[in-house]
Amino acid sequence: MAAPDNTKPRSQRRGSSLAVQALGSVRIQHALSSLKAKGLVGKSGSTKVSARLDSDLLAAARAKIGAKTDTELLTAALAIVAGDDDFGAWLVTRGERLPADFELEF
Amino acid sequence: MSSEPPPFERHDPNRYTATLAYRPRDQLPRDLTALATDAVLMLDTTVYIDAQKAKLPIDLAARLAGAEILHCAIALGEIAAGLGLLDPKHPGTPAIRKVLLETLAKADPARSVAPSADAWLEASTMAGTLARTQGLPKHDRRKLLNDALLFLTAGETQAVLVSRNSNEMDLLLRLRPDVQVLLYDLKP
Repeated sequence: MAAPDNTKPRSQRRGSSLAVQALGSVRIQHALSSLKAKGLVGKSGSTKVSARLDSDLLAAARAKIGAKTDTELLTAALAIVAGDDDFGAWLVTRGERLPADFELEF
Repeated sequence: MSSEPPPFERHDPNRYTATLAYRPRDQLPRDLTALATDAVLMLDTTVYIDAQKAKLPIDLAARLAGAEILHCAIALGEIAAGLGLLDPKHPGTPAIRKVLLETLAKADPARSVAPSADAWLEASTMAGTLARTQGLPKHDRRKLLNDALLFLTAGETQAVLVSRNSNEMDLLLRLRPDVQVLLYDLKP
């Protein structure tokens, strides 16, 4: 059995077969991968969605991420809403949690 | 068959016989505006700690807030080692321990990566060579190896390594100038 490739985020490892991978957006791939790793997607099949949306907004969003279909576009958008990471924002808004003289000595 | 040399032969230690002089600051990658807008950032251990001392430069903090972040097991491991190193009898330990635990818990495993076996071999060759040329004492050699592992993991994932370790990154960039690094100084 091949060793797992831990050098890549899960979104870039084999076995992550969601169609939106083709979009090439690392952010979207990471969001989908994170949702999948947490068991939050891929369990209940698919649902057909109908919505009335601004055509220009759809076109602009499609162009921005290179989505060829509405399914790709909506999957990407929902992945960002549900699975985007807020670590950076969390980290930089923590304030002075550590003493000024604290150093990791390792 | 690949013509690429094995990772332990990518750098010829015999080419490096003299101490490398550190380069002037303006020759090192410090320009935040030069980063691609969608660059994925990998954090050196310094970033996790400096941010929670409120010591990151404001422009870097703003960039981190909106960036896709990758975590390297080397940096997370250094934070985890800190948990073990804290003196249980020190009155400040519980508060610091809480911060370190929260940081590790917040790092998404799906956005965490580890160096490959190739990276370990290349990083070890690089760190050994540089430890000799720079005359590093034994206790600094492991730190340089960790820096080299972080550095090459960023290279493998095509992320930009954000670090305050200017001297170490300067040396590592001499051997692998293709790896993307962003250096910063503490906020005054």
